[in-house]
Amino acid sequence: MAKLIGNYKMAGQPDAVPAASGSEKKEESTVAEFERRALERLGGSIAFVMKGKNVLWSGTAPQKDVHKP
Amino acid sequence: MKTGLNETELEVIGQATYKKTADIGFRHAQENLPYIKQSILDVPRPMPAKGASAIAMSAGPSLHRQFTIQRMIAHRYPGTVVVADGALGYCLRNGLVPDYVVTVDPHPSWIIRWFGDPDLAGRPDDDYFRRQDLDPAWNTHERERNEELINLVNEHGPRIKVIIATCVSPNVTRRCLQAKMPLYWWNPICDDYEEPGSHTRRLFELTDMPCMVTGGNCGASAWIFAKAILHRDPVGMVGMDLGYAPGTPLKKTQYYHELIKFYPEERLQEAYIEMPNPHLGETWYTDPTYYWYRRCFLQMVQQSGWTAYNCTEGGTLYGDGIEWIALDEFIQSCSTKSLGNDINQIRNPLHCS
Repeated sequence: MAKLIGNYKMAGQPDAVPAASGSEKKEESTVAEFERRALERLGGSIAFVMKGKNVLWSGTAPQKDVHKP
Repeated sequence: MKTGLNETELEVIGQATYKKTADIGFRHAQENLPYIKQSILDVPRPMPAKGASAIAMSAGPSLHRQFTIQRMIAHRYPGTVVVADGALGYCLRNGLVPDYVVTVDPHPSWIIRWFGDPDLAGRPDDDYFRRQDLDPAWNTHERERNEELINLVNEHGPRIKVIIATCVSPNVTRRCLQAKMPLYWWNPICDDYEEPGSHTRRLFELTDMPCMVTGGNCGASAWIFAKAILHRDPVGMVGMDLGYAPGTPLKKTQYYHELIKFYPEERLQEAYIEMPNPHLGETWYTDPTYYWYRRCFLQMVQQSGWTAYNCTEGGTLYGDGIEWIALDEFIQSCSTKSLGNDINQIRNPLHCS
């Protein structure tokens, strides 16, 4: 299976940063939520995904050789 | 400042980018349909006299800090020049006419300014360009500079091939056609095209254009285009800072207006990331979005197996798969490669401080 990288959620990927416990946990989760909201406003120019070594796709099977110089 | 972002934070930026660009990009592709004719697979390849190398140019501050274009001209760089749209104006103002210009960001009103915006006076006023360190010409006399750029693009446009993503605003399309620039279309790969309901697949089915990995920003797309479509090797990168030089005021950073909504002024620096560049011996800094771009590029280099030659002489893009080379050495190696030299023999670390 081709390795998929970029803004694509992988199976088993954690949803949040692990936090500490008790009041520290509450404070950290508040900070994490604050930072998550900030980061949501910072999207880049265009989405990025790359499947395996393929940098081109034309509607058929992945073009396995196109990445070679 | 922080020292990095974790995987979850990077994922948030990636997903935010998708949300910000997917729907508007699809609407733009629908509006661009009447103009979509030739694809990037039809684009004329560089003349053999240009040799095998290329320079992919982004619009980072090192372009003017390192006099990159002036040195390319002084050294008579013989190879192909592919530029991100943001670098086009700086090239033309300094006497360099690129072979190709890449455009991919679907923003509805900002991107046309890189080509000279005939309707600038009617756009909502903002300081997006004035506050940036990307091209100092935009910092003052914005409207005069825009008029100058309109004329330069009109004059040189027919010689510059536009590598245009289907998702760009139709006002960019019309501006390029107005300047008689030849257009070659592509779809950005935005998700897994083998998944049901894939956005990328919808774009492909709508436009019948080939799809290409983006790298997350226009400069990265320019590098990929030079490698994957033009089959250039080596491809050097310039202006690919993905960050800010030491001492750059936070107000001059690209995402300042977004970050200041979340951080009080006195704590704003906590949003940024310090990047000690081992090749320069300097600590640059970056913002979360540029840090995501950097991560995308490093992942892409590792996964493709390609080598990226970074001739920026500044910035934060270093790491596995990135060869850090002075621009003069890159040009020299490309100029002599036909005589039997190989760039792999010239890998001296850069010390330009």
